[in-house]
Amino acid sequence: MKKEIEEELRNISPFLADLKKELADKEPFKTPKFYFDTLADNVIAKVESQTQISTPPQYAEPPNWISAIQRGLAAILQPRYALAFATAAVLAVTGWFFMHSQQPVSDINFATTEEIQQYIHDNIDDFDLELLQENGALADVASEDNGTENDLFGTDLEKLNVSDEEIERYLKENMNENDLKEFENNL
Amino acid sequence: MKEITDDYIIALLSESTSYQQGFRLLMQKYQTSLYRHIRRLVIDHDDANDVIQNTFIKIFRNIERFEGKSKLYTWLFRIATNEAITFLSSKKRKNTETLDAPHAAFMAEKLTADVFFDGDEIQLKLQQALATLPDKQKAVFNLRYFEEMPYEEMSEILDTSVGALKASYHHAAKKIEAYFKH
Repeated sequence: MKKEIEEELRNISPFLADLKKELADKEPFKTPKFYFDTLADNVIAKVESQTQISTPPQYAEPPNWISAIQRGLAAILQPRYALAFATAAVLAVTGWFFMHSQQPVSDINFATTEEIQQYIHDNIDDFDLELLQENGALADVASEDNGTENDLFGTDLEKLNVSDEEIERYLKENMNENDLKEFENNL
Repeated sequence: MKEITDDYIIALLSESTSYQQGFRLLMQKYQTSLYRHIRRLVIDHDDANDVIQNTFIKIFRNIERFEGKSKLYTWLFRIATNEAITFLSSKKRKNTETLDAPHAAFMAEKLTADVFFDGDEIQLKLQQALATLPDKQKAVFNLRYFEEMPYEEMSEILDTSVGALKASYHHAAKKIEAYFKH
């Protein structure tokens, strides 16, 4: 076979056939000392380290669906997607607050008079009586109790079981002359 | 000393208890010729070291795929050649190197400074001429010219028809001769 290869080369290029003879047994490429003595150990050490890295025994490989979720999250959490998500979230929250902050105004517009009166009746302690009087709401509430505005005060005084003398003394102690005149005019 | 046969190595590799021993014998038998083949392709020792280590790692992991249809050394040379050509392609992409005259000049400069290159002027010029060949054609020339390998085995290693290999070798020889004479 060697002779066949040599003849083929001489047919193609006598120059290269001669060059080959000239360069025979002259290997120009050298290696560091003892290179081949340690090569096998280096390769085996590399194989073992790669095996340990690829399948660390203390951590089980997660199932495929977990890996898929992890990959999905990793993709979503890329800066450009994270920014888009954050913007969308801010807009959604702002929109929700805006919609809900308008709700009571629109509700009161659609409430019936009966509903408003019932609400005031149920929460009478929370309202300013003078304000209600000015707006005529208190009369309606009072009439709903089958009485008048004055009946309302009269009922409360009866419940307190206070005598006329005690009331007169209280008024004198706590009211000035102008108040008393105004009070008498109102009776 | 009695020669270690491929059959003996393969028998050791077939048992998990003797796998590492078989692998060490395989390396002991073929590491020099594989290194020389890789080094002629990639030139630099550090590169050759990386490529041969990757080659043996692949062999270690895939030895069960060797079906015994071809010779063991043919299979090993096939892996080594593929690794070296893949390495060169990757390196060229990174360095945007080209296999033309400036590359040959760069090669001469590099080899002159290489402490692991001990060639004379003619050997240096031969390496420069080889550097002008495409990677696969260089592999064809090296296997035939230096390793004196039959075309049938080269065909298995390079996955190329014998006719195409003969033509490639012929053209490579003519290019190298022309480089010396220009």
